[in-house]
Amino acid sequence: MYLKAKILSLLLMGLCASSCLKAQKGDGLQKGQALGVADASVTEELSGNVKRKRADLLRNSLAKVLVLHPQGMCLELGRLPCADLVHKVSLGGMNAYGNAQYRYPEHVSVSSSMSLDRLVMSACIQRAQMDLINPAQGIIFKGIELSVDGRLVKSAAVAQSIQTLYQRAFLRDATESEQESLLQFYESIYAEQPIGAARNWMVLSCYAVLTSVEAAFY
Amino acid sequence: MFSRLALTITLLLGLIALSKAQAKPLESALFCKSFPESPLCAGASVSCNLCHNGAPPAFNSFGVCLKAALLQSGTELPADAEGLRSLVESVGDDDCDADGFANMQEIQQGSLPGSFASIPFSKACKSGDPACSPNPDYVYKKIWLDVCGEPPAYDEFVKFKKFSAPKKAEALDKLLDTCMESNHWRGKDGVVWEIGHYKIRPVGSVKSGEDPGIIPIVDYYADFHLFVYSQIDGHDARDMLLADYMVSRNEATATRTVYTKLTPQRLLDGQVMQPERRVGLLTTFWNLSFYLNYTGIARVLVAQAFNAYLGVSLAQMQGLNPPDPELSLFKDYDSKGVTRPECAQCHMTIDPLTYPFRNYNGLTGTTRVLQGQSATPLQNLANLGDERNLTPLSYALPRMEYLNDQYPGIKAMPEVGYILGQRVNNLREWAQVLVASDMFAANLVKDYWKVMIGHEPRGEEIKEFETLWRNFKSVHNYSVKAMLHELIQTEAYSVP
Repeated sequence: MYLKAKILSLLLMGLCASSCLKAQKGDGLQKGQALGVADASVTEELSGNVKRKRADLLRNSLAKVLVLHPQGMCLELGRLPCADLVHKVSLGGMNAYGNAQYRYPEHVSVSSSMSLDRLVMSACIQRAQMDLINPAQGIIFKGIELSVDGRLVKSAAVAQSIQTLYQRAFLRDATESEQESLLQFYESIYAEQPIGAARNWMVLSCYAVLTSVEAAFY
Repeated sequence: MFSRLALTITLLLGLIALSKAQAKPLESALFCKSFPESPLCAGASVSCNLCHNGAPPAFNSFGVCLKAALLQSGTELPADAEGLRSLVESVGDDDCDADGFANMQEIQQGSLPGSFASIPFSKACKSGDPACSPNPDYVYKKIWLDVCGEPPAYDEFVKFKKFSAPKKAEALDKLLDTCMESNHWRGKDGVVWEIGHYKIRPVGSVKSGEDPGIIPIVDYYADFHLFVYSQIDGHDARDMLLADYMVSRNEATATRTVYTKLTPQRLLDGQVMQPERRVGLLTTFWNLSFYLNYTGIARVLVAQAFNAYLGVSLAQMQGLNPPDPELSLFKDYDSKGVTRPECAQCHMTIDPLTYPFRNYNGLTGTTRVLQGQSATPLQNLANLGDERNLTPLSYALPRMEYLNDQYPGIKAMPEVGYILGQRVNNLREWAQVLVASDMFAANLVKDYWKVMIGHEPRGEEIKEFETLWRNFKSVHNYSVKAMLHELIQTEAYSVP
């Protein structure tokens, strides 16, 4: 329960960032100030011209950020590609040949957020598994050490992983508060379920960052 | 008793007066003759929602104002541009939709005077405001995503950020060129291909050849190849509707798709149509078999063409511009009742649009062609014969003779027609008028605007949009590639 609340707070953090990103021109907000962070590397979207990443862009972005196969990163029932088939329309794509849908949907559907969840969660699970198997060659969670019962061994590699995740996902460094939030997030996960806490933290931090508004819109 | 009679007479008089206030479909076309300077008319056709709530007859607040003005003056709805302008000006200072802006101000700035939600643009950016300057770092990321289809790598982005301003500008142009080579942009089911979806309207179940459907009859990928070819590498975008050639697609490498122009050769390039009678996507196997089919008069086909290439919905009474019926020889050639007054309002425009398709055959005259592109009659040139034969999907002079049994008198239908108010002798001239129109340029540029910027041009963006499509015609000579280089420099795209 506590873990869910924590994930929710992380998602809300992303949402807060989005509302700041959407600040209208002339609001007088300075870069960084809008996000309540010292680092001004986040681009403010002053005009409100924020676009949704459609199915193919989400798929390609996740594949590049996490270095995964675009068609293999998420398969429903183990064989149906999420972004190319099953969730294509709810993720903003069009199905011209099968459904005579010749234009992109203008609105976000009720299932869009769930489809995004499925896609990102599946991709993050794959990346976390691979980085766990071979930490030395890890893409995001490189050099992460685990105790025998699956707890995270605190090291510089953990902070560096968070930095890598933000750099690959958002082309910027994580702010101090973002770093701190993800580090504290591990404590919450550990409090909920110590066994496998490190793996769960890897999956869920990846998920929290890559389902944020900054990742889903541009 | 007397008071009841008086009330009835009053009501009847009111109804008569009200009926005089009803606009005709042509009024929307007349509006743009009255206010050619309005952004509502720039490269677009005003629709019924100027005065109505959605579809007529229900009026919106502006329509109600005009009706009241007519009732007050006791006059009928003007049938000429000057009269309509006077009528609109008589309520010009009013604010019918109570959105805080006078009707005339809205018309002059391109918002709808009968919609509370539509208001004149107010430019959020003031000149000199540093927050409103183009941000090349932001543009860099957007070009990567929009055109390359993926985000840039962190290291590449860091490197770009260190460039000087002139070097950044140069790098952005190079990046755009590089990304336009990607499969995400130009490949099968890529961005450009998907822009073609609403123009070609594929149906997967009847697809033959590559990616066959359950009833493989027709291959429409040839249409997509021609469309994409006309949109890339600086080619002339008008060729989509003027070409006599077809195009092949070759996925040369995993990351690049190559399109090659084919020598126009009947059957050998997949088309039945005689090369000298071809008019781009209008006369392809797919378009004629699907949109002309067995019908005598190509009304569905022209409605789809107007929707696809001009962004005009004839079904919503947009783009109506009827020629003089005596000159156009407008008649009810297929006995559908189109000359009845309530039908003629639209069909006086629509039917003369179809006349140049007179001898273009869909599937009429044969049942064997239902076997599709593999049908025996379509296997060799000798089977096809020349234009004196009633050959499907080709220019066939006996077509109307054949249909005359079903629709007596249809053979009198002329080939000379009218499009956008201009007389044309044949379908090629028809297409030339269409691609020369402002609406063609504006609609195509809007397709890319929506892809790149994410929405239709908004009030504050209309001027920038209009400059872009006008330059597409006059400066860029219909090169989408050149137009996109200008688009990435617009405020709408480059200012975060």
